[in-house]
Amino acid sequence: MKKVHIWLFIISLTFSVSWVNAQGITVEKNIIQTLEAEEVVDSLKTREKKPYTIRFGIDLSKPLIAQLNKDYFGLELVGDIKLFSEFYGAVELGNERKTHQSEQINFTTSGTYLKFGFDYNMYKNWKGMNNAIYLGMRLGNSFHKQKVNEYEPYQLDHYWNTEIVKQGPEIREQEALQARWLEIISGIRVKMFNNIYMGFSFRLNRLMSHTRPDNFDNLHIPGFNKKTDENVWGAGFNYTITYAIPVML
Amino acid sequence: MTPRSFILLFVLLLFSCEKDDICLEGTPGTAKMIVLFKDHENPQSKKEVSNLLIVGLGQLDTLTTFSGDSIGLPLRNNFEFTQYELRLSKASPTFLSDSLRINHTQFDTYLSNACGYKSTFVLDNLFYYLHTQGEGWIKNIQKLRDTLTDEKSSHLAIYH
Repeated sequence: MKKVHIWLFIISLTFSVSWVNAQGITVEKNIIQTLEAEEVVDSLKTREKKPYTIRFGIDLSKPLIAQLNKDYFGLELVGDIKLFSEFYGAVELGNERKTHQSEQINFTTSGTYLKFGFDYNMYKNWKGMNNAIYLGMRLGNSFHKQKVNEYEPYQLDHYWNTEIVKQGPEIREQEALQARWLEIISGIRVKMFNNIYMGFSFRLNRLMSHTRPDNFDNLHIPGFNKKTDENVWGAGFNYTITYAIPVML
Repeated sequence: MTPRSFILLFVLLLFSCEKDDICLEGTPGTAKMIVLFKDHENPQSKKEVSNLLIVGLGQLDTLTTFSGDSIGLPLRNNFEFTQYELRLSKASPTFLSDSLRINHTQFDTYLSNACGYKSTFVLDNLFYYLHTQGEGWIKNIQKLRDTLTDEKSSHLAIYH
């Protein structure tokens, strides 16, 4: 619009020049000045600025589950950064406390975990979009403690009442436990508005090593979730909301 | 496979029943105390009892009425002792009754998520029993094994 006005102005000036010849010189000066004021931009030469993605946010599912289940508390911070082409470096830092009542044992697991790895985006975005359908891997490590609250001894004979053991040498908290595992992830991430993204991911976990508590087991590991007696596989998911810091490079 | 069937498979994996949830039958639990009945006149040989009525102290039901030469007696969890009343009914109308108190300690061993802990009783070192005799039939008691890890052999011998 501005250019049109300027040109209209210039054209109208030239008309006025033909009408008023005596003022010709000053009018020509005016024309030169207006042309100089307009900066010439060559759009082909400027590099298009791409958003350099650095995102951070939280897992929404854990606080939600904590609201529904009073025996659970969980918080997970997530973050990722675009490394090159479609590879993203990713981290998750979380804290969990879960009291679990199984058939025979009531125990509480609490601790912190850290996962880091990468995501590979397989979704071909249109220009300007920044969504993702990705596969990824993480290396997870937890630092946790296990506390046996009470248990019912396994007894085949029920002549005497089997009392629930609430105190004794096995009712104790064992600290400084660790577990290390590998996660295979598939997930999606969608731009909601401005710089807010929502994401969902499924995780298949494979336990590599863990320090077993004395005379007990890591039945739950923060970040890894439920560990079964028989095998080393576990599963998990998260539902994240993240904010992308608007950095243009 | 379509993505939908993948999701279905995943959900099934998540909620399917695991071996983990059921304590398998045949898992050795807390061992009973195996009592062997022997002849007090001839300590090497076994001697059967017949119609031995066994009642736990404070229990209304009898454990069993037993005939034979060895029996497993369950011990009380979380207590320091277990007391049984052992009544031998002879042909005469009167009972021959003995009260046997076993003093024990225990330690619990973790088995699995579903089974939990099993208790192993240990008979106390010196005063592992207290024998109060009414009109009794038990002549002597001897400890054979003091740790009740299994039920494969006898832990206590009763001479009568």
